[in-house]
Amino acid sequence: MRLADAHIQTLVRRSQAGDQSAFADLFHNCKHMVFRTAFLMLGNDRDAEDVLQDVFLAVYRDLRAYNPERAAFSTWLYRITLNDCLNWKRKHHLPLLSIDDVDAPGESGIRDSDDDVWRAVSRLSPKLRAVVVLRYYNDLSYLEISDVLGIPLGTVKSRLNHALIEVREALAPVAGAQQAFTLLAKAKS
Amino acid sequence: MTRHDERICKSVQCQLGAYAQGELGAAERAQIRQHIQTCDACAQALVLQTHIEAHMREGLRARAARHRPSGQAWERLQQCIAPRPRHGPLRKFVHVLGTATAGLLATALLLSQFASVGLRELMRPGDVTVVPEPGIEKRAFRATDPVVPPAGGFVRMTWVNPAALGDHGLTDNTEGIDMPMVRKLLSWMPISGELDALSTTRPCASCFKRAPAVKPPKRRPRITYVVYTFDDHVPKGYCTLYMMCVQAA
Repeated sequence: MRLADAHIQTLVRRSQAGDQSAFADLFHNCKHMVFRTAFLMLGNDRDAEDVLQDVFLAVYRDLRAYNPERAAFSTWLYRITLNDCLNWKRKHHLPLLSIDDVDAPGESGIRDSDDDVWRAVSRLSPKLRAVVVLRYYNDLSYLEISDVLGIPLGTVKSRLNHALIEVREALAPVAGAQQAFTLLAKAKS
Repeated sequence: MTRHDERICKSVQCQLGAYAQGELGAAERAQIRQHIQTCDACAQALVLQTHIEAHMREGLRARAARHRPSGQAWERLQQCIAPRPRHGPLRKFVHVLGTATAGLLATALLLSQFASVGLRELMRPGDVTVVPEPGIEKRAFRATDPVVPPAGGFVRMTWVNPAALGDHGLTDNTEGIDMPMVRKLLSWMPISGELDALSTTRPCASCFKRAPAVKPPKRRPRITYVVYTFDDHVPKGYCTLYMMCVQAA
């Protein structure tokens, strides 16, 4: 889920110089990452699409002020995306949607294997959810998460720890935990 | 394996996530490794932790992979960032004249619509069982929803149930709104209660700077009147809302 930095940096430099086609390429290269991060934060496509537009408007507006020596473009983009998602909820008075409200299983009633994980993650508070999405979807290191969210490294560790405890509790009765114990039993025998 | 002090185990288990992900320093890592080799409970917790993390990574990726931005995302963005043409004084004058004429025509159209449907008879504060007449749309939608433009109309009037609308999108941003027109509309309405808030919102989230949300009124408005128009400057499929919240008596 990481952006190919060298190519992106080239596009950023060209966009900063006013190259519109480079900005279009930049958008198309990063849109899935921004959209999906927003989707995992907000829980629905419509809001994620609005966040995508907001984020790239901000990028377009502030790109000239962006300094690659201070932060990687991906870090800057993640920061705008996450801030926008967290502000989105506040400004629109919308609760972060729960899986119980959206994305219900289809008419067949068959749930996908990731439903349990998604349900557990969607119950996390926005702050915990942000670190989970950055860590497990975007594959950022603790240091990068701390940079993106502007919080100390220790806070990243404790939030991830809390999030994992909550997810573990939510997943405990389901197959994942059972499998873990089976694996453990096998390893011991 | 031996049984350890619960406090030590708790402290180790708090760091298992960072340990599993290689985010600890060499000394801490060695300490945890040493503890795990001698502690059954922590070794078990590590296996569970690793499994849950892998499960979560796969789950989030699988969920996200099923969703993608719409094909119109770039077009929408382009509409917002396209440079606006600079007009000379004569062009500006013609533009103002055109806008004024369009405004007059719209007002005339509105007047005829109101007259034809007998709005005064239909909309009474507190009476929410309004029967929609041809030409008046009755629907509930979120302020940020895209609205399909009506087939023939230029300006229409509709109402939404405030319970469905909630406090979403009520902003105090009146920039660019034809306030005299809104006040005129308001003056035609049979309002018996006090005007609680005159609010506008831009359904296109990014075209306009978002204004801070207005503090929700103490008494909830009973009826919300919404008038929307389709202007050139809003993206296709979106409209400008003229929203009036009226406090019922």
